[in-house]
Amino acid sequence: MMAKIRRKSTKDSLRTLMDLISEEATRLGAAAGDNRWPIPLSPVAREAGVAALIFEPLFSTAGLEDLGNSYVIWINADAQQADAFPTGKRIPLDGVAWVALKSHLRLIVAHEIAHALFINEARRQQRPPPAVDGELEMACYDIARLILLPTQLMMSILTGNIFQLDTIADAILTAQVSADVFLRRLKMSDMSSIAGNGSGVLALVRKTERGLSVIDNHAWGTQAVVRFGAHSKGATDEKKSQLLTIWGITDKGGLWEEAKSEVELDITSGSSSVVLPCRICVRRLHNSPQTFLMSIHILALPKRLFS
Amino acid sequence: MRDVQLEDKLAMSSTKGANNTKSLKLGLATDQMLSDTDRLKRYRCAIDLQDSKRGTCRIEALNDIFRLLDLRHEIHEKAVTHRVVQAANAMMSRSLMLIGDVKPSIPEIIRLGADDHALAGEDQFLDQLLMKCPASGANEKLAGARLAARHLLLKLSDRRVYRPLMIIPGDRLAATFIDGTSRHTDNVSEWENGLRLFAALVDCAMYSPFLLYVSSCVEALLRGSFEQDTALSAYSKRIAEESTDSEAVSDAMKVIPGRVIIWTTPYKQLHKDPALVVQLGAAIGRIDEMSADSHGGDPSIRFARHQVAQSIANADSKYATLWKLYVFISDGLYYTGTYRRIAQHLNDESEETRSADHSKRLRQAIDLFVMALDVVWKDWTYISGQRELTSESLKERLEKPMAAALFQALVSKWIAQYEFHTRRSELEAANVLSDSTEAARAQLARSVMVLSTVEIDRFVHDQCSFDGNCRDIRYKSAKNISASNWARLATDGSPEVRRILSFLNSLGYSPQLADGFKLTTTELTDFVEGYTNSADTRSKCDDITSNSPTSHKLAALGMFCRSNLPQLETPLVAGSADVAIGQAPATINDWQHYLTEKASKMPTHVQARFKTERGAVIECITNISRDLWPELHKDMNTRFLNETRLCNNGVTALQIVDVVTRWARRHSPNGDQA
Repeated sequence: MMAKIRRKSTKDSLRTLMDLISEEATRLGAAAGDNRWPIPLSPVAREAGVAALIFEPLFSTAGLEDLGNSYVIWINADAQQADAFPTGKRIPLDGVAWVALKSHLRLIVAHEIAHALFINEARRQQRPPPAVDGELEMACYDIARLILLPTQLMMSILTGNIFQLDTIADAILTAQVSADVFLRRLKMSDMSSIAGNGSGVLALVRKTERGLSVIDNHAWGTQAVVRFGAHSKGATDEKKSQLLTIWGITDKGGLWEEAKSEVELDITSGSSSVVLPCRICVRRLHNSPQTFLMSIHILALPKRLFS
Repeated sequence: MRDVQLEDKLAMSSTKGANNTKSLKLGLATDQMLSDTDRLKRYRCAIDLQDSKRGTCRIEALNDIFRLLDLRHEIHEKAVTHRVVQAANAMMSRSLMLIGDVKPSIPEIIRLGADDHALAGEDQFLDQLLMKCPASGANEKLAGARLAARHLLLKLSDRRVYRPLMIIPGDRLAATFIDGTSRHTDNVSEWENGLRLFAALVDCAMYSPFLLYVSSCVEALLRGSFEQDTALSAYSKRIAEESTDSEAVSDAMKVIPGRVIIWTTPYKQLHKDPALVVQLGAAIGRIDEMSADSHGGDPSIRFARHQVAQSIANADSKYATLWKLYVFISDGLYYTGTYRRIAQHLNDESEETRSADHSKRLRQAIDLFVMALDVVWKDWTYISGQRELTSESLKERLEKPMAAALFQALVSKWIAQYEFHTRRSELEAANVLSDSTEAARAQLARSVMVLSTVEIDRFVHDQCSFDGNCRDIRYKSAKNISASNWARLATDGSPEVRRILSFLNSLGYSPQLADGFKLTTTELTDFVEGYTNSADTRSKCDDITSNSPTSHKLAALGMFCRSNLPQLETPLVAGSADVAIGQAPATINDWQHYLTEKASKMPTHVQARFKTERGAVIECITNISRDLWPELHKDMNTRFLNETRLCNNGVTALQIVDVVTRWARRHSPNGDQA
């Protein structure tokens, strides 16, 4: 019982910190980016007290060294996209190499900056820093996404255009983030109104051994949430590979063959007699493995066949 | 001579001068070479040493003048330059430096215009200063400095002044450092310029960052932040490296220690020339310049001039020894320290050598200061020897803080010189230098010459309450915490007190320890203060249990004696020394021990997870060829060491498996098939 109570209070304290740091991260990201993508990370790092990046062999992907009055972000020299930086390479805040960080490393760095922000805030409140566990890690990833994709910028560019794949693909490219990070950012609560009155789903689809698999997706509007969202929550790999069929989307019209394709069709599923008039757009993002961004925009209310 | 003197001095009204006693006579000096405007109203009083009635010199008047000078010297010697007064001055000065730019203004201090201005005394002054440095603050860096200032002011108000670590009288300093200018002369007046310059160098803005850094390093050594002088040397070498982060160097240049103070008074403040204007025979001038020509003329005047010369030489020698350079330290730094006592218990070390070890550290501190002063002196000698620099540009240099590059160069030279001196002393002690040249021996003898007049063994102490050497009344009179009080505090104390007691229990301390070591109430208060004021300390202490590894316990204990020196990044080739040490595991059992040992250095949550997942790592290693184990061991050593430096370390066994698998793929002759 005691353990349960303690865990609850730790969660609460993390949530309180999270609220404060979310605001701070959004502010830092927006200030550093000056309303433009990509958000330069070195000014954010400076504000968080980070003095440098260093590439060294580690077991984990990255970590934060606390030097008392500053931090150093350690990145595993074997990490993905780290091969451009030799082992032992140290990048001070004013180093040009900050600009050369690719999307994956940018996420890692932003994540470590989030750790620094948590520690700073805890110190400011004269509390011990939050325990390093899964929850803190998830919170840091959320903060990292807030830094890389600040709310104001996202809203100004994407409001009303969320099913326009050209706009989305441009945003992913210029923001120098991965599609996965972008999609997860869209799931955060401050993005709930980004689709306006529109209803539909945005999904990341990858060609795997099992066939086309929906890696991640997010739905807006009641119709879309009921029709697409309900099937995807907590889906296993096998379920993910069946999602397109469940959604009633086949490769009709050669959707996945072209780099860019668009089709309007009425979606039905299984034996259901309800159809949804939708516009489906697909954009190929990567060739190896083949990865697609897909939007399904519901054009009208569902109608019954044979009515 | 008369004319020059008159031009130099302030004019005095002739009517005022004429009203003086019988022995004073108005000396009116005119100069045909002066312009009419200049000549008109230039009058000065001069003491007439000539008895015109009897045609002799008034020797008794001359003696009176030098007796007055003697009295002034006596006041300086017994009051102004007394070491306790100087220690209080030094503490007040340092506290103001630590308070920084929030010092109260002069009107605030003297309360000019306020109804209660008459109450503006010492108590109110200290009270105003204390209000500027509260016990806690939002900015940890600033709060640290102001907390140090607060401690100093509270000690001052309790009259618990610092103790001298070094007192170097002017004559010893001159003989050691300034011999290049004085050529070993015994004529103290020849040292004067050198001592004046030395005092200015110690007090100037240019060398201030370096001397404050040296003081901080010594403070860290005596507190236990540096376990030994070798750690201090290694740290300073890193600071001096060109590749060191400029921010760290800049921070190192800003450190202000609260417990170690290098202190001196400006030489000129003490050594005032006896510049009374006298008339001797036909000559009128300053008495200290009368001695210049003691040949020829009336025998009585010749004798008087000779006497003046002797008396001034006597005064010079007195003042030369009156001026001193001090290094003051908190009485707590003469104490071997609670930290060391508990650490020693944790390390199962003998306590016999504890005082001796601390005496050794204090001697090392003295050597470090001597080397620092030597470095400053030599650096200035080099700078001032550059012909293109005018006296104006030299003055300008002294008034500005030095550049970071020069700071690093001085630190590098200081440590190199200290290490050389230490090594030579060791070799000399071992009689290895039997073949050294006479010049080298003389050099060594000079460098190790005992400069200070302080007998440090009279101050060093191991236990606050019993040892007579403890001079701090707060600790001297503090009571030991008995077992019953300990038990009472453990149940009824404040949460912080209970936490500290539990932390100390985890370290193995209890009031019933066989070695008789008992914490005093004051020491416990210090622990609680350290715990309350620092979130880091709280966090580290709260993680400690009696099962925690000793290294973690020592690290948590070390938080209570952290220095204010900037923390440096780890070496780029991390842990290369560690990697070189230790045999590669030869059996799977060895690997299991190895992983257990490495995991013990990780945070507790990592350890707990690792216990259950370690099997996967072992299984992975089993599949790797034994020939590759030494190489794998080396790689893993580096990674483990790097991981321990991360504050958000969350390494999992699965990550290790992943790394090991990829490593094996890279190194196996069969590539991905391995």
